Amino acid sequence: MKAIWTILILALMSFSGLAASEFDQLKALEEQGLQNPDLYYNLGVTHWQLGESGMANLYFLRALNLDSAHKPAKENLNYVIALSQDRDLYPQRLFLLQIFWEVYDFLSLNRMALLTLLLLLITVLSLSWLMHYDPDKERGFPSLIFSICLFMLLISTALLAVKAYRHAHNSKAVLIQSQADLRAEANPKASRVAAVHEALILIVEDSREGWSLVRLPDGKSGWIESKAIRRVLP
Amino acid sequence: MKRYLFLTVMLLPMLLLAAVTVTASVNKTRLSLAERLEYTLEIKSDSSISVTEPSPPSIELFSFVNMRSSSRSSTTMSGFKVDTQHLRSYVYYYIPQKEGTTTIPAQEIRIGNKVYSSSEIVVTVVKSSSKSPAQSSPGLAPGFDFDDPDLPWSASRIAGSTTILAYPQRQKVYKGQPAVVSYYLYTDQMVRSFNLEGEKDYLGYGKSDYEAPTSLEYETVSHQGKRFQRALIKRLVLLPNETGELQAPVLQGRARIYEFGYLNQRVSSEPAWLEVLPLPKDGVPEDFGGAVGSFEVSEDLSAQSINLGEAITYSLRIAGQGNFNQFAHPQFPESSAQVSTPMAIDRVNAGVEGSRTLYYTIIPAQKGNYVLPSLSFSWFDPDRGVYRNFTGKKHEIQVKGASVVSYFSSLLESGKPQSIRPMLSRHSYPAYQSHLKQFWYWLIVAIILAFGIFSAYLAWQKSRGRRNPEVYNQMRADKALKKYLDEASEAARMLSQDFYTLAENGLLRYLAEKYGISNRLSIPEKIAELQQKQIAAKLIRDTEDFIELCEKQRFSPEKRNAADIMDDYHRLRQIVLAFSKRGAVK
Repeated sequence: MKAIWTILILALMSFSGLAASEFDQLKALEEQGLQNPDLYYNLGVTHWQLGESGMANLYFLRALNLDSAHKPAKENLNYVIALSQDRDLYPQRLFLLQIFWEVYDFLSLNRMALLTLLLLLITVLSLSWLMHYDPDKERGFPSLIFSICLFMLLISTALLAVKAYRHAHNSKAVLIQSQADLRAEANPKASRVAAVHEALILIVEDSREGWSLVRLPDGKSGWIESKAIRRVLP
Repeated sequence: MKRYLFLTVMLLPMLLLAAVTVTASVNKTRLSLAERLEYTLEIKSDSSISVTEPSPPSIELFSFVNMRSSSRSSTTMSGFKVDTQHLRSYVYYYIPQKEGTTTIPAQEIRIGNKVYSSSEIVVTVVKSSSKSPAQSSPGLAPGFDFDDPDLPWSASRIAGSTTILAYPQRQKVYKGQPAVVSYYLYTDQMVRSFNLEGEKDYLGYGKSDYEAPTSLEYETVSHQGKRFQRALIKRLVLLPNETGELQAPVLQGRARIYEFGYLNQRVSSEPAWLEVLPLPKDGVPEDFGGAVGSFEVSEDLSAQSINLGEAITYSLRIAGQGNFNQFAHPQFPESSAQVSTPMAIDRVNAGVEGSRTLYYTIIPAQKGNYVLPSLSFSWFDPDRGVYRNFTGKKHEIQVKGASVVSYFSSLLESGKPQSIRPMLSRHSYPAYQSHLKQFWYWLIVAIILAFGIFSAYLAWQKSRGRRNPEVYNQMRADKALKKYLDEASEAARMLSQDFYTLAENGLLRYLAEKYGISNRLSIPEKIAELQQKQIAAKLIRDTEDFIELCEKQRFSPEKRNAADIMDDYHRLRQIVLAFSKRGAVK
């Protein structure tokens, strides 16, 4: 029996040693100020291997903040959420909304910027075509093409603006403590609204004196100690 | 539609009759000061319930230590009747502070709009049956107040004693069973701080820190007939790996005592002993992997139906108190599916209290109905003194054939847990750069917009020409004059004789540009070319006359006067205007 325990402990030590070595390298790159979705993703996986699901979620969210189309980060985030204790707090999206969000996420900020550029070019060309079109001919077709291009350009520009704003003002945070209490006021003696667990994703709405006003995925709001959470935008 | 209506009608009575029961229980109604109280609240329902975690009840004579919660659901089929049970349990751990009898009040649980209540429980705390009097738990002195002038550490006292006592949670433990040992500082002096300097260890156990307060939180107790202040220094968890007598570690440190000035006193804990019993040799299960503790085990399967090539996750949750870091993980029996080694996620305090969830990723090898064999986990329960076993259900999983649609279905099932994706192999990590912050991006935007503005300007010019051809042609003639006859116009304004030379050259260059006539041709040849362009004969004649006039004036000694020069300049403008009206046809 001792032999089994020894093998198990050695295996665990070697595994955690490998993870720690890789982790140190990745962490050093992050501390140099490097921002890269793959780096954040790998940090997330390493944190998961070290049993820190909250930090894992945080880094998957950071990867997605840079590149919302980062598929491995999205899949791992969903995986960790599905295993978390508070998974029931996340709302189920309708089928069409799911498709919309898939497309929205697929169009990352850079992809959306390029798409908007392309649509701007097409819109200007179609406008030019319309302006130089023979006045004696029927203008219905070039007008239709221009209208469609302009509509798509406006939608794309609006989405680009929203994405750029959310990229720069991401208010998401992740609970990194194993358990924390959500309170009605920013006071440790205030009544408890809910007990939340590690890896839960929260929206930070306000902060003051070591406390943060957060909103849970199910819409419930309350105050939580700021040290219990870590924001996606450091 | 009728089918759904029928089902709704069938299920309606079940929904209306959804029963919820709330029960409370304790592990012991009579316990000694050295034991621990486990107060369990269980909520049972035959439908899914949403309930906020209840706060730990305040129990007189006890201090709250920790809690854990678990949820479980089970479904049974009997004939055509399906029974589903949802169970949520919350276990609160308390340590007795003094002897006496107390009543745990009824707990009220709000579920939806209804309030459910548990029953009251009476608990009696008796003196510890410990052999060593030094290890007996102290009791609080009744009616003792912190500001009492009779306090043992009041300023009038100078002499006194300070010591550390170790209290094992249990006197008898089984090999492998975690034992919590609490170290309290007992003093009747004014000890302002305590600096822990070391722990002297003995053979026969592994250990980990369970609790280490950062400040001295005093409470007043009676010990060996004297009043003392006591504060928790540390709680250790010992994991005995040998049987027999086991001596707990001895804590050593310095107490900073105030006695008209500060002095440091070295303090060591009194020795404390535990008796370690061997695990019973009878009835050891075959799959016993060394787990010792009070566990609750539950299982969960992520899906019952999948497409071939997809994975499902089976999770086994082991919760409670025990030697989490010292037992082997159970393995599935051989089957046709590919089953991963388990990934363990711990929520364990000090390695002994909490829960461990083991995740197994299962990928069936062929389509059809795959039966996942049951997983078995055995452990020794020290509270009952017997080996226990959890055997999961056999799960039947429907494996559908893979298809193109099933490939895309994963897009919409991204929330479904399958397995964690591994790290990406990257040699370098280039810094992320947003296109919106790049110069080239906005340069392209500016070029596109400039192109649009230029195009709009051209279109506006065209439309202007269409709206008023006369003015437009005049404007074009002016432009042509400006471009080709600029110098000639200037000479005309200066009434210079050079006007004729410049006018001839400019007009010929203009015609050459407009009609694509080679500059190498002679003037008669150029006129002949113009005649082939279907230009009015009068215009050609006027042009020919003007060029002839220019030729003459270039070589004539006669100077023309100012009025003639201005007349000739207007002739030139009329000719250019006439050519401009014909448009830019080459």
